[in-house]
Amino acid sequence: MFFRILKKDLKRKKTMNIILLLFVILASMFTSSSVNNILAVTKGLDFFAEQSGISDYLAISGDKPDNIYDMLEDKSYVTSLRSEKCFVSLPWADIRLNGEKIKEMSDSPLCMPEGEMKLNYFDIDNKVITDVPKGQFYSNTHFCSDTDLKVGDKVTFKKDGKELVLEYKGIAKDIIFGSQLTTNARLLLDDSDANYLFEDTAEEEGSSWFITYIGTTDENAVKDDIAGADGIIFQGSKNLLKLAFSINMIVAYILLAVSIGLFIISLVILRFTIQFTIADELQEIGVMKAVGIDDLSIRKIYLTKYLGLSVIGSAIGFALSLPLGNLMLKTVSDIIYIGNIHSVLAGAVCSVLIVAIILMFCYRCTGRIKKLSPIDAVRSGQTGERFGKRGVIHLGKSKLPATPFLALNDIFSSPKQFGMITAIFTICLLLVTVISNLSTTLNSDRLLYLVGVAPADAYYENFDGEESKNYGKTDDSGEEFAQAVSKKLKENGMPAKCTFNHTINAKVCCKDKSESVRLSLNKDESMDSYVYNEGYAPASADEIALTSKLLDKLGASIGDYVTLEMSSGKKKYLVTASFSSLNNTGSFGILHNSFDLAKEDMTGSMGISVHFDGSPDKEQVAANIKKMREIFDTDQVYDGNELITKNIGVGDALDAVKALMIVIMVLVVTLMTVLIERSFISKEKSEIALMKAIGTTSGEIVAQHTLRFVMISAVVCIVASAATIPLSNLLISPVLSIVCEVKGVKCATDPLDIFVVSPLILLAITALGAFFTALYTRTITSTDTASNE
Amino acid sequence: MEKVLDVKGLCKTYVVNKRQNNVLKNIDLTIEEGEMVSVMGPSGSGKSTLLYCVSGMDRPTAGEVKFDGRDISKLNDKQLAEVRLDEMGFIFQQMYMMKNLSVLDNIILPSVRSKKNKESRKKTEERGRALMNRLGIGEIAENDINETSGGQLQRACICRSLMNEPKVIFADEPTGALNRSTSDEVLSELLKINESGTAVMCVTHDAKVAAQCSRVLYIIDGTIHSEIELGKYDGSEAALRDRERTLNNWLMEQGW
Repeated sequence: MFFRILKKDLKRKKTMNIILLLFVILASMFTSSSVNNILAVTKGLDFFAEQSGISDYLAISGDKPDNIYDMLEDKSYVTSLRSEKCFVSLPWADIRLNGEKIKEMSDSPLCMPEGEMKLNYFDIDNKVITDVPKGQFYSNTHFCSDTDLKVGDKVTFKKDGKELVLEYKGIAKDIIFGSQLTTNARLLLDDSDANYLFEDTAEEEGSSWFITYIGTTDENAVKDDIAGADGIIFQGSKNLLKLAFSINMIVAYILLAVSIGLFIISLVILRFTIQFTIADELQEIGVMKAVGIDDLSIRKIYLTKYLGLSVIGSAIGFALSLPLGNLMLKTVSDIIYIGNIHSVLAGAVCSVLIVAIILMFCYRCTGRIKKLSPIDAVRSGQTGERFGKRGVIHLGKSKLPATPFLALNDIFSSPKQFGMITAIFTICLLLVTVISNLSTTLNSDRLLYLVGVAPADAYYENFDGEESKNYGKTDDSGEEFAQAVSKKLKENGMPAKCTFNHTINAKVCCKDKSESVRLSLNKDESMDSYVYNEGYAPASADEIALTSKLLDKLGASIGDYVTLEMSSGKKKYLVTASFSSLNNTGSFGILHNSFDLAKEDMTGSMGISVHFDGSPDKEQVAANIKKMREIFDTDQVYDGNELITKNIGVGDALDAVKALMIVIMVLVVTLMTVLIERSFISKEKSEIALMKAIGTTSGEIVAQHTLRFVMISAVVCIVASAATIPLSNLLISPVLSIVCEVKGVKCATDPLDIFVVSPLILLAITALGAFFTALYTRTITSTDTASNE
Repeated sequence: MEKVLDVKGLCKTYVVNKRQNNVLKNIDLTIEEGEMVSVMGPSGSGKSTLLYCVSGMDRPTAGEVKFDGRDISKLNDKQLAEVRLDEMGFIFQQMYMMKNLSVLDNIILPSVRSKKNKESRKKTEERGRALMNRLGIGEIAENDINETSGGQLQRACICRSLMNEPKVIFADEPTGALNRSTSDEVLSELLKINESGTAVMCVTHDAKVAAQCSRVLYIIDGTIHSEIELGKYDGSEAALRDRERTLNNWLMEQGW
């Protein structure tokens, strides 16, 4: 009898079992591959750092790092000091592939002669690049990410009237500039090629960047020593660099979350299936009990079935996780030397765990068997006591036509089952819309304040043009650059106010603590243009706003005085406000626009903010930006959204995750709809036959069954639409904290996407899934009333 | 009297595992307005199949089934459903009802579905209640179907079958699942309905039920072996005893 029941179950509940199997496969596949990926990348990063030979601390400076050497050479806690020199004076406009300009990035490419290499750089096959052949070059992925550059392509470099054609040799895995959070392109060149291109400007001020690697036993002491040192553009520890790569795992983390969600759905379906099976086989179970078979033996029948199902599902899922894991790892292994670290075992353990959890859950769900008595065999589960629930709505009092009424009545009559469907569908839709909101936010100009610039129509970042030739030579050279851009825009029929965004690297001290800080200064923007979390905008030259993160590090608060150390000297400033920023990993400040800037303090820039005259609309601004790109022959003109996308750089990853979520939503919703509708049909066979006998058409029955799911989907759409924005606002801060510490960010939304497109997708797939499954009711005829018990 | 049902040369064949099973063979049958006909016969003789074929629940393999002058074997599924809904009533051995609806809602459902019904929902509900009161189950109108006894449920099924004022009621073993006294009550309701002019075709194993019908058909191996005309039953105990005796003798002759 055991195997007869098992065989009957497998045959009769084919759809249900197949769907359950699919969920187990998906859960196992996503869990195994994402765990593999996370472990491989985590371990791989340590391996990559070790193999690269990176020191404990590093500083990137725009001048020769003599000052850093002077500060640190004699320190007992400094064990080594070495520097790499990269030329930064090659304009993007002078790099061409097949005669065409290649896609520009915000900073000039870093060109490093092979003789300067102090770290190990790896080629695509993970071999250390020891020699760059003459006439060839390597680059990190940023150089070729938006270009269709292939190994063997010839790239033309022009500099000071000289021209050099180099063949692209391939990717160089670069631990400093390789992560998605850094946007600098770095090229490795042969010494003689580099010398040929850069010999005329090699010693010019600002023509090179120096990356100094500091071996130390006390990172904090080094940080304090060099904080605010002249010329330092960036400083940070080895761990900070590794953290920058964590963005590459965001997809794996989200996949892991998704797989946990899928697994929970599998368990819900399993529970539903078991309950349905037990209800359907009351008589068999009763008969087995009546003839003296004990509970455990009966439960074993079901446990055997689900053991088989989960073992097969997990095994297939694990097998499929290997290619999926490799695919996920492939995108990472292009930038990280992962080594031979494979976490297949972890994936296998996950699959085994899934089987174990399913079995435990199954054992718990089959507990109802204990409660069934032999009487159930003869009474079909009725105990003789007639307790039932009265319908919540009444046909006689309702204005609804019969079909919608019956659909609605079915929902109210099975609140548990339809509630479960509503909850799962709502979660699916929320996952899609919340990720859409996160993606929209992280690509929107709403986060401009996190970059440290005031809102503007456009941002101009090209420093290779004629207009910037005097930049850095006088105290007002930035503003003069902006005026030159403004003049050219007016000449071309686009009058605009242009303001220059200075950045100043300094050391900030408060009491006994000090930190390096990057400060923003725009002499022509109102101080109220920036967004502050607390306090008031700096009102005079000796007031300053600092990020909450920096204030925490300094142990300072609004109202305290801090001392800024710059090249031109030390001065005290009153902290009047706190704000959030992702610039310089959150160590950022805003100076008052009347601050008197000396040219020796000008360490960088965030380009020029452009405010077109006459408040043009979005279309006009977009047309102006396009025209600016042509006039100035550069790609480095951005609107607010582009500036954010460029600086945060996770929007694309979230777009990919969103696409994946839509696929998963479609899959889950379709499978759930088919499974539940199929089981409803099975349960309601006698009622369907009766309805047909008393004159209900097949079309009306299909409509009733489809309408139930459409009604549920409509509720799901309303609930999800109401919840998506509050939930997104709740989640945006933790997501952004991956990149920086921010507070009070409100989500941006794409209303068409979250209120129309995504709900419509859910409605459509639910309606289609229910409709096609409900067509099965056509096989039930009115004469089936005779075959029902 | 007008013919409600006029069946000629009705055949029904099932093919199971490539083997042909002729369940009904060349059946000719008529039921007139206000007539109450019962169909008897051994298990597997084709009684229920005959009921399903003449009521449009199943399609005959061959032959003609005229209902109220229309050949319903030529109608499509949708038209057939409409005929069953508007002009026929059904009562089954098991008291099938929609589990999620109250007893009253179950009863008025065919009327709400019917396109010929132009009355308001309130009016329909009132009519449903009136029917329930007539059959003595008014107090269970709002009950869940799990809260009612078998006899009450079967009377509710009768109410449902009457909602659209059918020309004929098809009853498949209407008292098969009931005890004797409940069975008598249900049958008496059916007789009252028949009295009011609705034709009844009833499949039964129960001689006492058949004895109260005006005509009894005996079916063996898919053919109407013979029939007996008992005439209208006047409702008296004595007449019932006589009719039962006559029927039983006749049934014994048929090999019952």
